[in-house]
Amino acid sequence: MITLDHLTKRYGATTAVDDLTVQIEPGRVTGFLGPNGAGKSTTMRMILGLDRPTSGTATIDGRPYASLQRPLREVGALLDAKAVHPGRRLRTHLLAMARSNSIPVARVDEVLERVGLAGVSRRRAGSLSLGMSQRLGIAGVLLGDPRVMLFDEPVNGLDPDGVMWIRKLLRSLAAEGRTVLVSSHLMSEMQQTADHLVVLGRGRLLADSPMADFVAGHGSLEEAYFRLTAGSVEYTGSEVA
Amino acid sequence: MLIPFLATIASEWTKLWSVRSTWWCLIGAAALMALYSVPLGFDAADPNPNLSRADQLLHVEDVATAGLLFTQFALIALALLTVTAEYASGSMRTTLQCEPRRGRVLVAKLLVVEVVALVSGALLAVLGAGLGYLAAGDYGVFDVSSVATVAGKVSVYMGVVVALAIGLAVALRSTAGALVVAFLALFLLPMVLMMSGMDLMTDVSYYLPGTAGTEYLGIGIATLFGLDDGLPYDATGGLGLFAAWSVVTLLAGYVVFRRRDA
Repeated sequence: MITLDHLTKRYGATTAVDDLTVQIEPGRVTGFLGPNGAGKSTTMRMILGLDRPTSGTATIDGRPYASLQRPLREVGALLDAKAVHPGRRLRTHLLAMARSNSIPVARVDEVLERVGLAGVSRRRAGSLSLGMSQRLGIAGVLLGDPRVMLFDEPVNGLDPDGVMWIRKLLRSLAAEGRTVLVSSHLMSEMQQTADHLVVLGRGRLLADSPMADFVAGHGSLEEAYFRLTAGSVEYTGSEVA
Repeated sequence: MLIPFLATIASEWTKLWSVRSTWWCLIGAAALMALYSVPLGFDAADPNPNLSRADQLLHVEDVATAGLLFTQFALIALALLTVTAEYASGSMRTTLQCEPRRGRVLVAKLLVVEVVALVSGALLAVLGAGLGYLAAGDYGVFDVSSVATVAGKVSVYMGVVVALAIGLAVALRSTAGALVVAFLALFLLPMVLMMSGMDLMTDVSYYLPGTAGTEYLGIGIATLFGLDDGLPYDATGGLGLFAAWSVVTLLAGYVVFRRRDA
């Protein structure tokens, strides 16, 4: 379980995350939605102790991330699939992660197999397509077999097979009782994957509700989402005639 | 607490040797050393009829420090890339997910780089002396204990200079930024200030890391400019001042590393 308690992050005059209080429960896929700049990624970074909250706290099963002794065994996170040293081979990248948390080497090959990269494990990370990078990032999440998992835009760049694969993967991980938080801008995909939704707009909590309740009365998740976030979109292009 | 820390060191060791830049930096250091030591050797092998044989003998321990003013930058690049390459790719976030205690990450990176710097520093000196000896032919003098002494000094020098580099890297996060500051502090700034001819500038230059470090190595920048008379410390003092710069830079880097968002 992830607990955010009055979590706030300010950068000078801008407030990226504004007094966010919410619990991400285990055993279900929680979709994390919101327009660009709504504060989803910042929130994830604060959960992982990468960014320091201006005020408030983010804890995992009651403990801040920085106090976890072998964090990869408790929390797995895919923030940016391309954030890998481009010259390092896939297997070595995972090996270095595994060593840091005393995870057996055999587990590296296991997760490479699971995400479908076993055959290219000697390739350098810089040579991967975005879709393959996402699979590498997912391998990193699975590495420590953690109870809590965060995925920031994991579907981007995946082919249709990959999209379906990750949908099934996320659902099975939640079914195993794990806490699964996934951000995405792909509404139709999210509608098929998530059980519960947390929606941010301009750093504030707009909704925290089961998928069914959220969509009720609207044609689709997309429609319900547009209705809710209409006032919170910061970056808009000009209208197309 | 010790076991997670050892795990972090193991992880950093794996990362260091799994990128090509590490190897290129080491090859570059060896190539630069060869570039300086071989011509010095050949030069000695070409007798000057106006000098006595004893005056022309090349004591190769002197060759071991030749060109270190430049060669050191290969190891500085190796050291700072362990930090700045992670910021450039974004993988510093992965590193900090693996070990959120940033002090431990910094110390692990430092220890791993220190091992490389201390070993390769000594090997570089021996390589320079060896190549100089081979190139000098009959005029080369290879005194094992003198060469070993110099190898030890170069090793210590490299150990101190990579600590400075890591400190700069965590403070500045960018490869170019850290490299430029290292170049200024170790090389350009002491020279420019000494060339200015102004007393105040010269006094300032005495306290810069480049002046202190090279004084310890016996290839003093101040000596190069004929200003070593005014130097307020000897070789040992030079090492102390040089090491103090590294410690202060590392501490400043640590403060930035701890405080700033990753």
